[in-house]
Amino acid sequence: MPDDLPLEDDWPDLMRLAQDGDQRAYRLVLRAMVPAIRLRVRRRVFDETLIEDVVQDVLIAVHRLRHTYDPALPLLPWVSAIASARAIDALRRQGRSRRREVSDEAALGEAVDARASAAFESLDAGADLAGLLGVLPERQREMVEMVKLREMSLDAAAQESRLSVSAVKSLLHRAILKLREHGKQTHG
Amino acid sequence: MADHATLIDALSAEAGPVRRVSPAWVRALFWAPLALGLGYLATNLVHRASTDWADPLAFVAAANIVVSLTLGVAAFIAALSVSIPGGRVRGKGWIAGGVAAWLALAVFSISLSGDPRGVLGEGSYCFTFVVTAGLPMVLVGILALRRTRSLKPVRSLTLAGMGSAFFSFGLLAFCHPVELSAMDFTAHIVAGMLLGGVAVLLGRRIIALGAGQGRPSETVFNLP
Repeated sequence: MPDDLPLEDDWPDLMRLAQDGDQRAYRLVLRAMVPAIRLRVRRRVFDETLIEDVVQDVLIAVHRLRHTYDPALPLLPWVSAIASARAIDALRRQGRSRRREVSDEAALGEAVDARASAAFESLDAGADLAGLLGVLPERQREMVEMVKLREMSLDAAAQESRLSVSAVKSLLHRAILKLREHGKQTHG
Repeated sequence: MADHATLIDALSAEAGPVRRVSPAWVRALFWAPLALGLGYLATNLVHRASTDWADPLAFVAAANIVVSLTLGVAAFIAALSVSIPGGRVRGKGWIAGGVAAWLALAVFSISLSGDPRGVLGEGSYCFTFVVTAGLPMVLVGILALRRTRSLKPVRSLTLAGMGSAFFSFGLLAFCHPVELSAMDFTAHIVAGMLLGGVAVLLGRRIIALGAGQGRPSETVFNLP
């Protein structure tokens, strides 16, 4: 753990301060908890591309449920329960979407998301495009650049990025969702 | 590996003071009487006969009331406890013992009946009574759980429904003959299960911590 992050024994006190509105204490304890959350999520989720999404989801859940934490008790069991529940929920959601989706590598390679393409086409300057892609995490941005801009096939993108084709598809899917979300926020 | 700094900064920036939730038993002290009171008021909608307290076997009804209301409180506390992350049902053994005692009282009441089996349709009054009294209690249970939300909404709501059912059984015992037929008892059980189902159906979306909910608006979380 980096030197500037608090030790686990200090977490309950920091969370108590956070509950009282101390934003610095809150930032510290959230940052300190991330490795522990990641470790717990990793026990249930094996898809590397999903793990960081679940960690983010756990942080948001911690934020929403912070009033339910009792500072007299250790923080880790409370966080672990949230991490475990959110990981299971994420796996369920992933399972549901897999059941609904048909996996056709060739068709997916050829098919282009019309709304995403329209969004790209509507950009008239490289700066806009860079700004748009800037909202994406590095991995997702790489996939968009490879598949949508450089028009690489999914297989080629997977090979170059050393990921499985399904991981590439998953990253692309999340990238498009994030771009749509960003588009709604910025353009109404 | 992502460090989630952007998200943490956004969450910290909007983090104001929050009011900590009280322990489950303290919250139950408020919510359980409220549920019971509303349930009692709702029973005005159905005809109520009074238990014959002069009956030498009236102690069975009294015991039923005490056991049912105690189980109702215990189930309510359990529902509130389970809704807290990492929360557990405490005193499972006592609750199981209470349910066993409640079943034993029911079996004893059935043994007192001249027609232990009963006929189809018997118990429709009890069914109506339990559902009428229980529905407002279910709503109170959902309201009580809404503040904490729940990572296990089905479990929390099932327990809240169970609490409402036992409260209703407790109220029913005030206006029910000591004797009971199996058909009548079945109607009680079905009504109780219906309350549990209604609690889950009505409350699941309300108390669940949905996927991706709570993201601060106008914020994009950038996983580096």
